[in-house]
Formats: sequence, C-alpha cells, structure tokens
Amino acid sequence: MKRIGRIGRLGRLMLLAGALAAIAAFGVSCGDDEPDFPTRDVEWFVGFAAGGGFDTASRIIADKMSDDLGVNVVVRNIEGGGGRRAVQEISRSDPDGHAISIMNMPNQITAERLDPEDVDFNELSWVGRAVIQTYGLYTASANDFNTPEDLQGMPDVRFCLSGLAGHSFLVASVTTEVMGIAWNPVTGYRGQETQAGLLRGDCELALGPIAGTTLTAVQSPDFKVLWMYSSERFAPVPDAPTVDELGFPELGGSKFANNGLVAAAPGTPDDVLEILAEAFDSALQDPDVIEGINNAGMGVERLTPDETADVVEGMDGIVSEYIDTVRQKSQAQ
Amino acid sequence: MFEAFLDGLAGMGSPAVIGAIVLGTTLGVLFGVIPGLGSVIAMTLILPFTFGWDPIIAMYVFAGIIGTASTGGGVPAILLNTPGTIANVCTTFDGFPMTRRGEGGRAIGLAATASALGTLFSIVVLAALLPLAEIMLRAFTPPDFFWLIILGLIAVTFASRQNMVKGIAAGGVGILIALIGFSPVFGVRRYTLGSEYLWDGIEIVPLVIGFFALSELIVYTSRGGSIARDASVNLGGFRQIMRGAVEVFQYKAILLRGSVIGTVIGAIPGAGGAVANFLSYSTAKQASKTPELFGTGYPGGVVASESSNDAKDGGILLPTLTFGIPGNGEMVILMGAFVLHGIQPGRDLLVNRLDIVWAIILGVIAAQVLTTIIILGGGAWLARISLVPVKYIAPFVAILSFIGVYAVRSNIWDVALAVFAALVGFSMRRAGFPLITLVIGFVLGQLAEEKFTQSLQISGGGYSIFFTRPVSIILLLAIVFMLGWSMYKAAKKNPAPRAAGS
Repeated sequence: MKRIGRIGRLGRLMLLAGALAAIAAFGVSCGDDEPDFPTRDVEWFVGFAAGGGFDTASRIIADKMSDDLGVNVVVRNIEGGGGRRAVQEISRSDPDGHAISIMNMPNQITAERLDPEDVDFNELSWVGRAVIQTYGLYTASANDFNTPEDLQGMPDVRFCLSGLAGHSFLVASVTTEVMGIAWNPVTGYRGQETQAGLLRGDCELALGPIAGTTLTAVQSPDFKVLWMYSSERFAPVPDAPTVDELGFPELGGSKFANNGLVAAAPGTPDDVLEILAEAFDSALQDPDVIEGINNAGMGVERLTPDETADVVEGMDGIVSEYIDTVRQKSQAQ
Repeated sequence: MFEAFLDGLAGMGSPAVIGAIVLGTTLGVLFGVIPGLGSVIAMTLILPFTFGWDPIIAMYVFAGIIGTASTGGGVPAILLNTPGTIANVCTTFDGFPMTRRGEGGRAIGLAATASALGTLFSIVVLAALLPLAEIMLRAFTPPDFFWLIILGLIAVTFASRQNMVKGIAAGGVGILIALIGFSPVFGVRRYTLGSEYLWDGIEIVPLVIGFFALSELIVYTSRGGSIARDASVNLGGFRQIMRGAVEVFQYKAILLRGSVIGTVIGAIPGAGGAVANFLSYSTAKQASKTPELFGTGYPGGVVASESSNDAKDGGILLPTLTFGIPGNGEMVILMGAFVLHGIQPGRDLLVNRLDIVWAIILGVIAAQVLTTIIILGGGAWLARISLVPVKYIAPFVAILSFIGVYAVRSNIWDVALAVFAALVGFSMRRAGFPLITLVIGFVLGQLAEEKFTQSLQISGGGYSIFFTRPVSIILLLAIVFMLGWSMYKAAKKNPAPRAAGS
C-alpha cells in the first residue's frame, strides 16, 4: 500500500506537472491568438464638412478598409472648430480601435497650443498618414522679387492668409523667422480670393498646398512659385526650387506639408492597432485609392504607425519652438 | 463662359436635372399660390434635404423656386384678391376687378406671360453682365467691399418698410449673432459660453427655418381658418386665358418698362420684388394716357405688376453671385445653400464654378417656362389650395421643418435652436421688427468684419484706406446720399414745430 501510495503521489505530481504545462501551453497559445477585433463597424471621424479634400480621401480609404476588415468603416463628419471637435471626439473615445480619426497636422497642434483643450497628440495611437499636400510660396508674376534675399530687403512683406490660427500662418511665421523677412499677415483669404488678392496687390505673397485650383493658377502666366516646402522638387512645378536648395533645410521634409494623419484613441492595444494599420496601409497601396486621392489634389506617402508617431513628435517640437512667435504675431494684429 | 453655358444646356436633358426643375417649380408654384408662404419658406424647407445632393441638382431646385413663386403668387391675387407674395400686391388692383367682370382667365393669361417675359429679360441682362462681374471683382478691394456691405445693409433697412430704428436694431442684432463662435481670422472663440455647440457659431439652417417657416406657422395657427377666405373664382374659360397670353404684346412699353425697373431694382440689395412692383405700377400709371383706367380692371396694370416682380430675379442674382451680398430672403437662403454645398460666391464661383452659375440661370428660365404652362393650364384649380384649412397645412410644414433641421448634422440642438428662433421670430413679428434685416445682418456681419480687418491689415492700421480709393468714395457718397434722403423725407413728413411766437 505504501509503495502504491508513493507511486500514487509521484503519479499525482506528474499529473499536476502535466496539467500545469498544459495550462501554460494553452495560455501561450491564447496569447498568440488574433485579438477579437473588429467586433462591429469602425467609425472614421472627419472634422470637416462632407465633400472636402479630407472627407473625400477618408471615404475612398474607408471603403477599401471595409473589405479588409470585414466590417463597415463608416465615415462620420464631426465638423467644428476647424477640425478640433473630431480631435476631441477621438481623444475621448474608448481605446478599442472601433473609432479612428483623420486630422490635419501640424495645424491641430498649433490650434491646441494657442487655445488648449487638454489634447496630447503624442498620446494618441497613430495609425498612419492618409494624405499629404506639399506647401509652396507663390506670388503674382508681375512682382520682381524671386528669392529669399530679395524679400529680406523689403519692408513688411504682406502675406494673404486664411486666418491667424491656420497652418499657413504657422508656416509664414516660421519661414519669415528663419529667413529674416519682415512681414505682416492680411487675413480672410480662401480659395480663389487669395489669387485675386495677389493680383489686386492686397498682398505680395501667399502660401498654400500647391494642388487643385491653386496648382492650375500657379501654372498660369499670372503667378510664379518662389519655392516649395519639400526636400525634393515638386513634379507639377518643376522649376520651383525647394527650401533645401535655397539653404533652409530646416523648412524641408514633410513637416510643413498639410498632413492628413489618422489616429485611434489613446491607449489602443498594440495588436488592435496593428490590424488597423495593416488594413489602412493595404488600402493606400491600392491603385484605385491612390488615383482617387490624387484626383482630389492630394498625394500618398505612406508611413508606419511608429513613423507617424515620430512625425507628430517632430511637428510638436517645431510648433513648440515657434509658438511664441506665432502668438506674438497673432496678438499684434 | 460660353462653353460652360453649352455644357449646362446639354446637362438639362438629364433626368436628374429635369426632376430637379420639376420639383423646384412645383414647390415654387405651390408655395407662391398659398398666400403668405412664398418662395423663402419653400427654399427654407427644401434646403436641408439637398445636403449630400450634387450641388448642380440642388441649384436647379432652388432656381426653380426662385423663378416661379411670384408667378404663382399672381394667381390668388387675380382670383381671390389675396396676393400670393408681397410682390403681387399691385396685381390685385386690376386683376381682381377683371375676375369680377368674368375675365379672370384673361388676367391669368396676361400675368403668366408678362411674368415669363420679365424673367427672360432680366436673366438675359444677368448673363450679359456676368463677364463684367469678374472685372468688377478685381476692381473691388477690401475697403470698397466693406462700404458695399454697409450700403447693402442700409438699403435693406430702408427698404424694410417698417420702423427704420427697428430695422437698424434688427440688423445690428444679426451682426452680433454672426460674431458668435470661432473666428478663423483671429483664431479665438467668441461668446460661446463654454459650449461646444456654439464653437462654430449659429447655424444658418435652423435659424432661417425657425425665423421664416416655423414663426410664420405660429402666426397662421394662432389665426386659424384657411389662408384665403374668398372662394368666388370666376375664370371665364380657357380661350380667355389664351387671349390674355397673346394680349400682353399690346402693352409692349409697359412690359419693357416693368422688366427694366424689375431688373434694376432687383440688383439693389433690399429693394426686391415689392418695391419693383409698386414702382413699375405707378410709373406705368403716370406714363399712361388713360391713367384713370388703372385700378378698374385694366390689362396694362396686370402687365406692369407681373413683369416687374419676376424681372427682379435676374437683377437680384447679380450681387449675390458676384459679391456674396444677398438682397432679399430668397438670396439669403441661396447663400445658405452655397454654404451647405461648399460653394464660395465671388471669384471662386465665377471662375471655377460656372456650372453652378449656369445651373441657376438656366434653371430659372426652364422653371419660368414650365410655370407659365402650369399657370395657363391649371391656375384656377391651383388657387383653391389657398382654401385648405391651416390645420391641415401646419403639421405638414412643421414636421418637414424639424426633419430638415435635424437631417443636416443629426444634432438635436439644431432642432432646439429652430424652435427658439421660431419663438424669437414670432415675438419680433409681433413687435414690428423686420426678420429679413436681422438675417441679412447675420449673413453679412462676418463678411463686414473680415473686410474691415483686411483693409486695416493692408494699410498697416491706417484708416485713410477707407476714404482714398475712387470706388470707396463713390460708395461712401451713395451711403451719405441715402441717409440724407431718408432724413429729408422724415423731416418733410414730420416738420419740426415752429418756435413759440414766431
């Protein structure tokens, strides 16, 4: 009995060890499983009205993502505050990946710094970059200045801008600071009114994404592009130099482009984010999606979630560096 | 421009465009025939439902309403002695006496044809002036624009035909409401009271639906009964209608004068169809060799009235499309439609969206032709709609209003705002404040602020920019003249008491 009992204890120990190993193995196996996502439709917030550039791009990408994710990716326009309501909405959403938002960056960082609403952009779970619009600085052809040096010698160059909180205002503030140009903003110019303002002489310079009707205008004899905010020449206006070529590489890259970056709520699990990012990236490689975005006057330059987070961090740094300049200029008006 | 015209013309064959014109025309005629409702309410009610539509299709609907309501309004003026819109008042002077003589059909024929020809005249003038509009836009700098807005606001106030002080007060409140929300120019939030709802300011759709549709509904519901009370319709047969339609050409001078007056007066913000209507009628009477016949059922009186109130359509579109300055309620709603569809009046519209411009122009023409056929064929039957009790119309309009307001942004607070605006609008009507002045102040307020700021930014803070440009000086002189004339008229009407003993 004793022997049997000893064997029995050994047997029980072996059984226990086997059971623990099985549980451990099962646990590891469970950890390797795909997360239970998505379990319902994914909402894609757009902070602007339906029909605009970001809305169009969002609908094109969301449509393709729906095929990959197996659920509908539904675009929801949450207009307000120049896109800030959508930013607030995503920063308050549940971190389960069922809500994502496109936002215009670095404009939203500037707006947050000027009028804080407790949004930390570095805390958002970045999915990738949907669209990019390269900025350029242009003027009426009748004006005889062409280079930063020409502008440095002028008293108070006037920029036609949309407002004192827009991305163009930040780019103008930083450009003039870096290049040493004395300037003043003239605000309230949107779309074709900007070009009318240049032709009338309301202002000498204008900034904006060189796309759509602006691209058509700058390709006409009435206007000329002085430079592009990129490190490589912009194919549609090949004669325009880049800021890098002019000796101002700190203004190059994509940080002063209008970026349509996509984020999920802060704290979204990595595995869920990975699924979203894969579907998002796959959509951006689809030729139809690329064509649709290009037709809407925007470009596609894909970024991974980590690269997107780095770009946001870089933008945050730039805005932090120049926000006082922006604020001072804004308050002076 | 000519290519865009041809494209627009070719596009008119599409079923969607035809459907849009028929929808707009039907709404315009129905709301024009029902006295008191009119084109503004028709446009207000359909506005939110066009959200998400192709903007071109939406514009055809609005053009259909713009081009038809005052034509429809001539029918009850002739048959029931109740003008469908305020611009049809003079039609009652001779139209109803004709009906009492058993010549209602003849009067309808005269009115429908005169309306159609008046509209066509003004639209041709508008199309001819559009190429010049772009040149004008280039000539207009921000300080000129600022004075133009002020001139428009003053003209609207003077034209309100109500107490001028109340008009100015209403316009001022409109400007103040326009300041609520995030200012893209200054990058700050103003008067939002910490509310996210007010972040982008007051939305135009719930505001105009509350002011125009729902407050009007409260007025009618509190009155009860049917809108028109006289059912004595005497048409006189289809042959008489056709006789009237052809007879218009016997009054060529009156027709042409009415069309010119309507077009010119229409282009002046605030003046609108009613002023054109009275001016055309009184001018025709003064110029006539037989003025004693006016008011007795004289066909020329109907022609004078109906040619002018429809000819205002072309004129009134000019400042709206070119400068974004709406001259009357219809144009305010059209501006709301532009906002809803992301269309920017001015250079953007005239250079990039000529398809929109031609959709409006061609839509007005097509709708006018269609309306003329409808009125000639079934005017008497349409007039009977006015006899439907308000209790049946009110719930329909109310439900349509609430669905429409909610549909645009799916925001229940927009419905609350519409209800609030209705109550405020009703109170303002009762107190004699002109609602249209408030809404035009609201629409132009932000633009005025923007142009004022731009001017100072261009000049580096110097105010002399407002008084040195030739266009600015001309506009300023026009404002001074308008104010001086009004003070002179007021002094003439109420002479100061003579000092004692003098």
